[in-house]
Amino acid sequence: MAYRDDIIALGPSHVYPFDGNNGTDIVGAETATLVGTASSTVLTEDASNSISTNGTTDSVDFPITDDINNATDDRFALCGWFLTDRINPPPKVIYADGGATSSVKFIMAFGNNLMLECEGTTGTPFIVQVYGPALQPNRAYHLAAVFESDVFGNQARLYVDGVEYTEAEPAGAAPGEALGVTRGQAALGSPVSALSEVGNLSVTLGAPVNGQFQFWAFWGDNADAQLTTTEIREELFEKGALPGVTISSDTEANMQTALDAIASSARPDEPLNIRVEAVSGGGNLTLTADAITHDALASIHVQYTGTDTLTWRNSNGSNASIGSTPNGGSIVFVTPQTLTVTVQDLVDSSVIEGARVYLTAGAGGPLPEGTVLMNEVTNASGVATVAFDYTADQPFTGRVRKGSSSPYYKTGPVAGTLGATALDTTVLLIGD
Amino acid sequence: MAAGNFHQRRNASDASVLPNAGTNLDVSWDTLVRQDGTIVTYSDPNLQLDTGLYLIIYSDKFSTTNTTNNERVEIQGEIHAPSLGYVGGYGQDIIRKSSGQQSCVVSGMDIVDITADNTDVFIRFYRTDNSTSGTVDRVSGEGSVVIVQLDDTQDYGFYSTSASEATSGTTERTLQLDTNDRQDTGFSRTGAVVDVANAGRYFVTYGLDLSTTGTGREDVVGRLTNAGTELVGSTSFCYLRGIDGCQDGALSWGGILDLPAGADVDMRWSAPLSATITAAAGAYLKMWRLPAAADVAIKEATTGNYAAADPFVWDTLPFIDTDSFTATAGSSNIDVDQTDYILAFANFHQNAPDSGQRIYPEARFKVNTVVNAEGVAGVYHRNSGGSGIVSLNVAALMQVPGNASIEVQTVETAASGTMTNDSAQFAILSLESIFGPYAFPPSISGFNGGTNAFLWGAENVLIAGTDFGAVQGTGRVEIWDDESGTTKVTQTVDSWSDTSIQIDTVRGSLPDDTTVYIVVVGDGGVESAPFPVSVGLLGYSSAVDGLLMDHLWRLNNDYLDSGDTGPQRDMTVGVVGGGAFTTNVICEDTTHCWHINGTTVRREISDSENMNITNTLRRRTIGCWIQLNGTQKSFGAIWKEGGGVQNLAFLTGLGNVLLAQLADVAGSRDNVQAVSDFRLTPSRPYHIAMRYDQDDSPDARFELYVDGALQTVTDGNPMTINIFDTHSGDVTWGEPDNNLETGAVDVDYPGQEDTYMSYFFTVSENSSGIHDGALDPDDDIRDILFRRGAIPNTTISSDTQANMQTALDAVSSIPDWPLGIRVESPSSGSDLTLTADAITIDDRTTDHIEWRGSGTLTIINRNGSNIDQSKCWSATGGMIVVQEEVDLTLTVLDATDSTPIENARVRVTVAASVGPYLVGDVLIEGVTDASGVITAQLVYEGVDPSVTGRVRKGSASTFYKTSDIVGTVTSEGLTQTVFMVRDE
Repeated sequence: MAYRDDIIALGPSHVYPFDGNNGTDIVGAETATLVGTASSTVLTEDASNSISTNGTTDSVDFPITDDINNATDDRFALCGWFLTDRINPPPKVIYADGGATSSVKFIMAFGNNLMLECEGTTGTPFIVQVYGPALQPNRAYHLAAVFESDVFGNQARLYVDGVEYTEAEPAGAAPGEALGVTRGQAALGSPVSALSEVGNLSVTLGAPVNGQFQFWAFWGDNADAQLTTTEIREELFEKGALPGVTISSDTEANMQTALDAIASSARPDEPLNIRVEAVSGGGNLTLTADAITHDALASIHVQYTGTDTLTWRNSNGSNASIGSTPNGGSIVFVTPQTLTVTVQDLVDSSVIEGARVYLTAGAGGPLPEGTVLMNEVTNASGVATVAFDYTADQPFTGRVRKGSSSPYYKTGPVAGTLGATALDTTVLLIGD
Repeated sequence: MAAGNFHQRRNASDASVLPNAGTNLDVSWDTLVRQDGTIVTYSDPNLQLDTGLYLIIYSDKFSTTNTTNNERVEIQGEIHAPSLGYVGGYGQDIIRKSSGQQSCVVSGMDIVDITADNTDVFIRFYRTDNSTSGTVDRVSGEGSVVIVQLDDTQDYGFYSTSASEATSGTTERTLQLDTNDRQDTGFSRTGAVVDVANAGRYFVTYGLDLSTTGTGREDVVGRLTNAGTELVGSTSFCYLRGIDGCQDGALSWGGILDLPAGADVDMRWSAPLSATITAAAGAYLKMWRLPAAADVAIKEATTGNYAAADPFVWDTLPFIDTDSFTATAGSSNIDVDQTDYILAFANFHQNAPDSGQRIYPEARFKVNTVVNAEGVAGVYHRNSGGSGIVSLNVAALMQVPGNASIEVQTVETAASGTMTNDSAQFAILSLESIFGPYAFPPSISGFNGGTNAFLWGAENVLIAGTDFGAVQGTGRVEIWDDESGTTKVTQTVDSWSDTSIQIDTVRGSLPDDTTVYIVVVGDGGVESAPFPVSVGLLGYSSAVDGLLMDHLWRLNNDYLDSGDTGPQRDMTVGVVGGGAFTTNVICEDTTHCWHINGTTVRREISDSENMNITNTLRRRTIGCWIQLNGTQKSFGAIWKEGGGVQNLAFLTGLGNVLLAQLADVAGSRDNVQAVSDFRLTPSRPYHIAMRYDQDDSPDARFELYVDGALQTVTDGNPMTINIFDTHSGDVTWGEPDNNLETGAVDVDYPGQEDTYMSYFFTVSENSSGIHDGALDPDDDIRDILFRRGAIPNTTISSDTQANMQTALDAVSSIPDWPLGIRVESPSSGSDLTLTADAITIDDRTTDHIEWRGSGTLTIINRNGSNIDQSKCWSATGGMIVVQEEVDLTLTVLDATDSTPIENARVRVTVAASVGPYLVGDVLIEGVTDASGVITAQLVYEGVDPSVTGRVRKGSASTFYKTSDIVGTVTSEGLTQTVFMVRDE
């Protein structure tokens, strides 16, 4: 399903793809007016272009309509993709509706720090601000705002790339009232109406320089506006994110070769670092990342578009941990380990060759209880090893014995938990 | 009592009001400076003396803050011995209250023959003027009173007048000495002339008590002659104003003269202006023939300008005893070769009027370039309308170390002209040469390498000086809390010599971060004078002053600019609302801070060439302490200078993000913003600073520091144009003008929401500080401006180690704060070990521990405490070591069925020495609990000790065979399971 269809499936009132320099509404047929904008590079899936405000007075002026700005809203949501190519020194508006008394705004200033402000004067006046991250230049972000009055969740929520930000003033971000009906015309970029106000005090605001916009959508005052965190993350963000690298569908060996081509690389701060398509013919897939690290601010490390299971092995310091499976598949991140057990004589600490080490998974870990982890015989150094893919802490139990040849030893118990650090333990046996 | 004994006192604290005319002030001398023998029993204000002959010298200073023009204060000084009916030692000076002359010195001297034991002597000052405006206050710390017992067996000639006499005009009158009060061998008097039979050096003094009925400006001058030839160095002067009750005065002089055999000495005086001046009966001339052994040095000069005479340079060296002195002509100094008590005298004279108006020179001596304030003299005179003839005399008793350089400092404190010397003399008399040998008390000249500062616990600290004694014997070193030694703590002496003592400091109950006094007590119990030194850290105020800011607004309950460079620009211009001061404090050394209590509040200063106008400044650092008392919802301007096109500014917004910016012409000049890496926590003080240095290499950058830490996010760096022109927009705190340019856009910012501010500073390359305007990020911005000003959340005060541990045990958590815990030095020893038991410090707390000791502070993190060594520091030279305590856990199980074994005895020791762990050190010892577990703790010190041990259970059934333990303790501790085999 195309990304726009994924959005539409969530019941928005209006959706503006901005796939080219036009203000087409693919849901509500309420065309937006473009002021000074231009076509620019694509930010998301399912589009070829985005729209750009390349001057501080450029804007996308949305129509005055109940589902955007012209009604008293107990519920309201909007989202869209945004990118700017620089730190914008003066305070900027990404999106704003309303006037000085009731409004919803995405404000960006002071090192591109992001803020959602919701202000209302219906009933008890309120100003709720939710603070987001500093937006990095030339990095697309998915921004989402969900407003619910005290009739519903009584909270204003800010999501960036589907992750909720909770630092707010007041804490809890409860508006206590609905958004007022007197909100002015909504716009991306330079405000349409007298919106030069933040925190209820006037300030000069303008459009981001070279701000790009893609797939902005609105939900009016209905149940669909109560977007869930899962919907925002998995449907609106993950399905629209463009990958930095794609491992295209092929045989597992060829896909591993493709992945090896980016071995020993650091994947940057992006919405999505690596997309892995389904293996040819379907079925589970295992890939080993060789020294591939991910920027701490990257939103998705690995996205698997297949429907089966992708086992992603983090070898040589690879650190993928954030997965995305938009088509119902699954990803298992594992870290290869070597489990080591050394067996010695309890009396003289001499090594014991030929002892059998048998370890099985205990309860409480990712593996089924009883799964055999090691069934090996110690070598001349008294050491037994086995490869193990670590995913999460795994309790284990087991025993070590030597009854096949003299000297014989009584069975020695062993137990513990396999953790992020590979097991390396010594077991002492008693002569029998 | 013996000849040569002396007693000297000074006024250390008295600021008594000298009453208006009609009431005397018999002054107190609260502090003993030095004495030899016990010739004085002091009972304020009386200096009680027994029978004998005494040289008495006094000087004292007075001042008034009242500036009522055309009012004068005339002060008389006298030596009184009322039981003997004696008054002498006349002195006089005037405060004119105009042209900045707000103080004067009254001095005098005499040789007084005390004819009965237990005679009270005191120094009296009184006024005769009619001024009633303001008060005249005694000035402490200047002058002293000196009493030296003379040898009655030596030769003296004392003469006086039995009747008053008067003179007028420039013609000199010979003082009509007609009474021989004492005349020993070698002296005779013919009429008013004293014939001195023997060549030699003589101490001579004279005094006349004057008055006039004239109404003009009256100068009175006096001198000694040898048959009409002036004896150089013997001149005196007095200014009387014939109005306002200022018709009284005195001629007073004393000094050393080198007389030829058969000298005919007389005292001559005149009143060059028109009025008649009267000298009361009892005017005196007193001479003491110095014994042949007396060592004297005399210098003279016929040139010199007083305004630039520090030190005064002398032309000739007419006499010197090289046994005690070294000196050359054409230099400022006479060197005293040996440790000595000296009497020093200096006399200056001007004989020609200049264009000056009201002139007030003062004179003092210097010992090894350090001014000695125990002898001081001054003289007010009015050249315009006066004769232009004036003299200035100063005398002092001083203890000097060997090879001491003695000089004379003259300064003009209220000059509108200059006083030019034409005849001057500088003489020193060695008391040691006459009365020696003295048992000189220890004398301290320096401490701790001349720093005169130290930290408690400091070891191997050197005290430099003289006469400590070759061996310590019963001698000791004490540190006193004040000059009188209210609290004294004996120090640990490492080594002792006559000129140097090394000690390890001991605090005891003495205070910290203040001035204390070093006292050396000699083997015979003689104490040195208390030597002031600083202990601990200077206060934040002093530390910041040391950076020599251009402007500094402490905002500690006033808006004054106390910067070093200036010009002074108080925050009293363009006030809207103005904010208020609050007793909440956000940095050290303050009792208040400025409260910006509204978004329309603003304050400005007048333009400054070291900020926004006149100079194109290439280096600046600007900052303050700030506390946002909530989350800033609007965009807020904290401060800015300039406006459209060019400006510097601090701004906040977006949930307390802090922004510093340098804005210049868009597109062609540097425009830089620096943003805080985090949102400032409400109600939490921060130190913020912006800095740029256009000469930085390789990159010139504009930077923002928060709590001394460089913030990483900037836009516009490195600067490439490196020109930042003057910017005439106002310097404003709070709501700015409506055109604060930001990234080529004139932005109309609101003012700041609820905010506290302290210690706002700005500094540029025009400062005389060594930083050249760009403060050092670590040494200045972090270590001084932030760290020294940070108020700790918790202070562990100086005490015993046990009590300090108890105090730390009361701490469970530290919130987000500039400084978590300040640990003072322990009351004994220099090192300290404290265990932090389950103390969690907020991860946004900037610094965890400040250690104010000089030794090593060892912190042991126990039970999850998270004190981070990288966030601990010491400004006092101390070391801080943070160690982690790890758990050692053994679980003992039955090898057959893995059941826990209770009461198994465990002993684990270090198997091989490594680091601080020594082989055999016992790490675990005891018996297991019902779960078969035994636990111990170990302070992990960065190395992994291997361990060995045994487990056994043979005391009660079920019995087990002994099992061995081997393993290694790591930073994670030790966790091991031991299986045991039954032995039954």
